[in-house]
Amino acid sequence: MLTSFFKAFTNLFKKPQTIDYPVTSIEKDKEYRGLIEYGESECIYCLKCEKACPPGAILFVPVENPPKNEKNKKGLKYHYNPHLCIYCSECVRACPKPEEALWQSNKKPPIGIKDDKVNDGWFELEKLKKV
Amino acid sequence: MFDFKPIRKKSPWILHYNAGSCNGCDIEILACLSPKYDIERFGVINTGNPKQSDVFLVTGPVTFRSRERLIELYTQMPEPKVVMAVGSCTCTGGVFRDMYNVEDGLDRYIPVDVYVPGCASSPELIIDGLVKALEILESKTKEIEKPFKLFRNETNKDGVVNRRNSALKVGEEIDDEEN
Amino acid sequence: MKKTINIPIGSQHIALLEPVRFKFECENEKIVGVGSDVGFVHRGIEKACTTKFKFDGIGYVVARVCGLCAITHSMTYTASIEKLIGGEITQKAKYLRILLLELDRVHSHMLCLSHTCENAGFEAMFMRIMGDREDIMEIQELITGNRVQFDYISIGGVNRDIDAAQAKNILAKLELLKHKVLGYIDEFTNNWSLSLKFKGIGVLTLDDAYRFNTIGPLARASGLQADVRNEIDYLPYDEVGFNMQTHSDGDINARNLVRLSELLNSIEMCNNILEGLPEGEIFTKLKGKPKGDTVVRFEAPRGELMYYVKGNGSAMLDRVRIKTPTFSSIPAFSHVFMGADYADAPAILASFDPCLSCTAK
Repeated sequence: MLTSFFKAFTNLFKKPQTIDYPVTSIEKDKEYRGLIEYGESECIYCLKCEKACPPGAILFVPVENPPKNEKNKKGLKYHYNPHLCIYCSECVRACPKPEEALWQSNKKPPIGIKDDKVNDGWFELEKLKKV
Repeated sequence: MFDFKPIRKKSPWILHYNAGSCNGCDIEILACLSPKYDIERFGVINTGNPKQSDVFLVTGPVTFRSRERLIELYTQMPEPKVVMAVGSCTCTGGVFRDMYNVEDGLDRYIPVDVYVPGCASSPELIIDGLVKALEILESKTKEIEKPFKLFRNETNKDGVVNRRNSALKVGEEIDDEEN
Repeated sequence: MKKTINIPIGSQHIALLEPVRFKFECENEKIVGVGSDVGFVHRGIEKACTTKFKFDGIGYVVARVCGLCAITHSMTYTASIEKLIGGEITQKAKYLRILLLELDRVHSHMLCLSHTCENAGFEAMFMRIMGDREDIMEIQELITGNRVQFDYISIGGVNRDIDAAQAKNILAKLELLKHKVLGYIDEFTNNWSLSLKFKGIGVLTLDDAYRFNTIGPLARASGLQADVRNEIDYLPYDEVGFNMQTHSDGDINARNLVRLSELLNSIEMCNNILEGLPEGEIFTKLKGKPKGDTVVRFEAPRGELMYYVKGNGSAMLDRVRIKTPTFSSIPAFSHVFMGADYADAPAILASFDPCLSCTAK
């Protein structure tokens, strides 16, 4: 019983084990697997990232005002859903220009609320793709 | 009278249900209660009782066997309540989209307020989502306790008071411009 | 009037981590009959592997069958495809694969031990073990980039490398963890009030373990010598210092002691690998499509895992069949519950360490 008193007394002067998160921010490592980012001017529209993604989180959909690029022959635009992605970075390994057109940063993904239409908006984009 | 409005968000109790997930997000919720990322300093306790909780945490794409228990738990929770979908599988179906025993996402069944992404979501994202859910809980509390009218005002003509048409029909609301 | 009453412990309960349903028939607090119901988590993965995904993307889908033994599923599938295509991988890639498998075993055993203590009523030990487990999660985040679900193994090698400064950092953290585990062994054997809850309860004898075909730490705690790491040759386990740990009592206390000594052995294996890592490449490109069929077995933290893969020369496979360790232990569960007190049921269930998302894929 004396050992437990001694241990409780020395624990008064140690640093606490808790990190109080929203007040003090936590630094992430440089190699942390975060959001996927896209450079629009360097893309050559080969569509390899769309075939390599397991859940299908990248879609190229025909729209009325496509971005102006001489390789974009069919009028496509890039769409990405951070709530469907599993952050495995298969798309970065399949891209022929991995540092300029598509790369993985170490930022945290954003949190969605009800008005963002995370699920219903994606079903409408998939219907446009099939037509 | 004792006023509950400003203190309801100071101690939210949570209820956690696993609707068919791979257990990755469940371990991260259990790690939130451990000493490193302590959410008990916000006043949160993990109870298993739906009649005593404010926030509903769901993980996993909803499978056909677990639909009934999910709806029973949702209707037994008292108002005001917030529903939080944790993980990519719960928001939109994740890797399991289009498989034969799975519904694609939680908002096909019950109305969802906060979506937390990630596979598996790290405890920092869960704490960010919980802080946003507490703001939504505060605005829902203020809306419930606002006063509203049940009857129209009575008309007064030549000293005779007429209350015959003062009841409202179902679903009708009073315009405030009419007095 | 019947003599027995039915008490369910349902798919949502505060003492369970997983959705499973048991119905107990009790007569005055002793259990006389058990009915079990698994299958709340069935998602249809085996059918989707043959219709929706190509053979080089299935490694990421199969890892999401279970979050605790994710890298063992991914490793077994990749080993069977490499056997069908043919080709050699470098020695450095094999050692890095063993390192990640043993780190996964350490964090899974610590979760099971803390959950057993919480169900026995000792909540201070639960918080202490979960606080020390965060060191292992930091090591995993340094090596692979994520805390759970590291997508680290692909066909032909591994995805990332370790340099010398990271290896020194990891060795220092593992040394601190070893002192803490020695403190836990002291606490689990000498505490008097824990021994009232754990000793002599939930006994599985050696004859019953042999008759019901049990596997994993459950069988090793009863005296049966069953470990897959002795019998395979795709990874060099005998060069890094592997020893099999057994005990002879068969109750809850014996299972805890077997898991703790496996923890010490895994930490020693990780130290040997980091000190003697050879030079070389980590990835070789393999060409070809899988044709034929094969069977591969590995040791997950809960027992033996088996895969059967059949291909026909095109990019889509013919059949993928998965046999998970908890599925083989269900007959032994139902036998141990008979004759026990009803109040001991959550503690016995947590010491078996069930993983229901593996069982109903």
